[in-house]
Amino acid sequence: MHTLATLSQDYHGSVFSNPTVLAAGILGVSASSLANVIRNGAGAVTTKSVGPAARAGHPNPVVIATDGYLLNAVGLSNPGAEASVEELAAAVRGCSAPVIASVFGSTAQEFADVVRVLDAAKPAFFEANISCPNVGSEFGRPFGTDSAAAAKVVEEIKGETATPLIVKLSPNVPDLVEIAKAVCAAGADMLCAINTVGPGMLIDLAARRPVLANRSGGLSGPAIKPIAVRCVYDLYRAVDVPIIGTGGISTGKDAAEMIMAGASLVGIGSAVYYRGIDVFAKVARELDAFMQEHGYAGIGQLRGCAHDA
Amino acid sequence: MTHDRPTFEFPTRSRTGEVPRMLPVRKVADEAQGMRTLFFSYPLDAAPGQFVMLWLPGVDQKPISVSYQDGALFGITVAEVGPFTRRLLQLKSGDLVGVTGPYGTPFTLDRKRPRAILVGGGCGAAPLGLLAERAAAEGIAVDLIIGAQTERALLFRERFARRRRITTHLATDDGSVGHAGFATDVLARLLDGTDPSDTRVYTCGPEAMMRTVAQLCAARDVPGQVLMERYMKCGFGVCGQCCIDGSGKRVCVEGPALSFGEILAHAEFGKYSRDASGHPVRKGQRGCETR
Ligand SMILES: Cc1cc2nc3c(=O)[nH]c(=O)nc-3n(C[C@H](O)[C@H](O)[C@H](O)COP(=O)(O)OP(=O)(O)OC[C@H]3O[C@@H](n4cnc5c(N)ncnc54)[C@H](O)[C@@H]3O)c2cc1C
Ligand SMILES: Cc1cc2nc3c(=O)[nH]c(=O)nc-3n(C[C@H](O)[C@H](O)[C@H](O)COP(=O)(O)O)c2cc1C
Ligand code: FES
Repeated sequence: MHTLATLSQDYHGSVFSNPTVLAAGILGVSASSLANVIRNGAGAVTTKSVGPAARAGHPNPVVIATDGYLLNAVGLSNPGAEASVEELAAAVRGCSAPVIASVFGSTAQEFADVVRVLDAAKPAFFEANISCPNVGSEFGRPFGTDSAAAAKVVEEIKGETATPLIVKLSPNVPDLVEIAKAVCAAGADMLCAINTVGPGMLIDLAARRPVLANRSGGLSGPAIKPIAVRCVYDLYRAVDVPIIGTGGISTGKDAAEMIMAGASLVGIGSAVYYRGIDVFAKVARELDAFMQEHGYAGIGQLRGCAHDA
Repeated sequence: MTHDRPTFEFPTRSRTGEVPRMLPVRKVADEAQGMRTLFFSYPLDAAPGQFVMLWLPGVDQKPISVSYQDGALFGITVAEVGPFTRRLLQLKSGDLVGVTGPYGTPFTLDRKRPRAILVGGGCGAAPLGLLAERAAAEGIAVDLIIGAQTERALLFRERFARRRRITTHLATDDGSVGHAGFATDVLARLLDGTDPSDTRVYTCGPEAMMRTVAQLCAARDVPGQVLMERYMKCGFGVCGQCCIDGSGKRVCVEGPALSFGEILAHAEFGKYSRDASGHPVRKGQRGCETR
C-alpha cells in the first residue's frame, strides 16, 4: 500500500490513504481480486454491482478497447445478493482499505432489499448504481434520469442501513445538478460521477454489424474525461457532499485536474487497461510528485481550486 | 497548466487495440473424435500458451489457445462442449471469424534444461502442440504425453511422428492404445529416470490431472507450469471475471501459464471456479465434459 502523507483523507470514519478508488465493474468480482487491487496501490475499492438475483450478463463481446476509449455492455452480471454476502464479507476482512459495495435494483424497494442483505458484511460504504446504461429500461434508467425516483431510492436505502451511502450518477441526463440536489436532500452522503457516457456503438465493416453483443455500450476511458471533469465542476458548485470524480483518469495530472474541478477522491476503471493493474500506485505517485512540485501541502488545497478564478 | 499528450505505454494491449479483426477460415482439419483445427492465413505472433478471443458475430466470443503457428498461418484446435464450440466446428473455409489477441502470459522455455516433458489430457492438450514444436526448435528434447479416455479421442497422435527431438507417449483410460491408465502414470515413470535439474514440465488439461502433475513435480523439485482455464469475458485484464482466489491474479493477463509453486498456493486450484455470474462452482473430475 502507498501511504503518501499529503494524499491521505478521512470520510465517514474511513481512511483513504490516497485518493484513488477502483471504479465499480472493473476487477471487482471477488475478494481476492479487490485485495490485489489494493496491493497495487488503490486507496479504496468498489465491488462489481450486486443486484437482487443472479445474472450471467450479456454474451460476449462485452468490452471493446481502443486507444481513446472503452465500450462496455457487461450486463450487470453478478451472483445475486444472497450469494454475494460471503464474498463481500471476505473482501471487508481481507482488504486493508475501505470496501465500497455497489448495488443496483429495478425498483427502489429492490435496492433496499439488496442493501439489507449485504449490510451483514459491513462494507465501509454502499454505492447505489442508479445509472447503468446497459440493461435497457429494466434497471437504472428511471432512477438515473428522474430526480424524484432517484431520491426515493436513497430514502429506501437510508431506511435500511446506517452505512454511509454514495450515489453514482449518470452523465446522460439533461440536468445532472437537479438529480444530485435531490439525492443529497434525501440523505446521500457522497456522490460518484460519472458512470459511462452514451451509450455508444462500434460497427465492424467486414462483419457488417455492431461488435458488442448488446449492440451498444457505455463509453469510458480517456475520451470521456472532459465530460467527467465538467460534471464534477458543476456538482461541486451545487452540493456540499464529497465527490468521487470518475471518468477517464489515467495519470496523476488527470487526477489533479479532477480534484481541481471539485473531486475529493478519483475513481479509476478503464486506465487499468491503459496503464496496467498498478495504475493506482502510479497515479498516486504522480499526483504526489505534482503536488510537491507545485507546493500543495494536501488534497484540501487542490480541491475545487479551479472555481477560485 | 499545460495539457501534454498522454505519454503512458499500453502494457496489456495488442497491436490493433481490443477490437476484432475479421479473418476468413483458410482450411479445416479433423484432429480426433469431436475435435477439429481451424487454420487462418494471418501472421499471428503468439508464444506457446497464449490464446486468442474468437468472435462469431451473432453467437458469442470465447478464449481459445493457439495450437499451430508458422508465420503465415495459425491454427486453433477446438472440442465441442456447447453452443459456441458447436458453431465454431461447423465453419467452412471462407467463413469469417473475428480475432483479437494474442493474450496472456505464455509458457517459458528454459534453454538451460535440455529436456521438456509435456503432459496433455483430453481436449486440453491443444496448446501443447505449439509448445512441443517451439521447444524442439530450440534444441530441447521433448516427451509429449497425451492422455484421453479412448484411442479415438487422442489429440496429435501423428502430428510429431516424424519430428526430430519429439517423442510422443500415449495413455488411454480404456487401454485401447498406449499405457492403460493416466497420463500422469507415464509422467511419474519418466521423472523417475530423469535428473530434476535437466528437466522442465508443462501441463494442460483437466484440473485434477494438472494438480497431480504439479504435485508430482513439486515433490521432486522439477520446475514447470500449468495452463489455467477460467471463465473469461474481456480477455485483457479489466473485468475481473477470471481472477483466482488467493493472489487474485488475472488468468487472462498474469496467466494462463502459472508456475507449479504459484498455482499450488491457490485454494481453488482443482476445486472450484467461477461461472459467468461470478459465483464459485465446484469442479467436476474431468475437463471436457464439465466444460
Ligand atoms: C485461456 C483459455 C484457452 C482455451 N483454449 C481452448 C482450446 O484451445 N480449445 C478448446 O476447445 N477450448 C479452449 N478453451 C475453452 C473454451 O473457451 C470453452 O470450451 C468455450 O468457451 C465453451 O463455449 P461453449 O458455448 O461451446 O460451451 P458452454 O456450454 O457455454 O460452456 C461449457 C463450459 O465451457 C467453459 N466456458 C464457457 N464460456 C467460457 C468462457 N467465456 N471462458 C472460459 N471458459 C468458458 C465453462 O467452463 C463452461 O462450463 C479455452 C479456455 C480458456 C480460458
Ligand atoms: C467493463 C466495465 C464495467 C463496468 N461496470 C460497472 C458496474 O457494474 N457498475 C457501475 O456503477 N459502473 C460500472 N462501470 C462504470 C465505471 O465504474 C466508471 O464509472 C466508468 O467506466 C468511467 O470511469 P473510467 O473512465 O475510469 O473507466 C463499468 C465500466 C467498465 C469499463
Ligand atoms: S477475462 Fe476479464 S480480467 Fe480476465
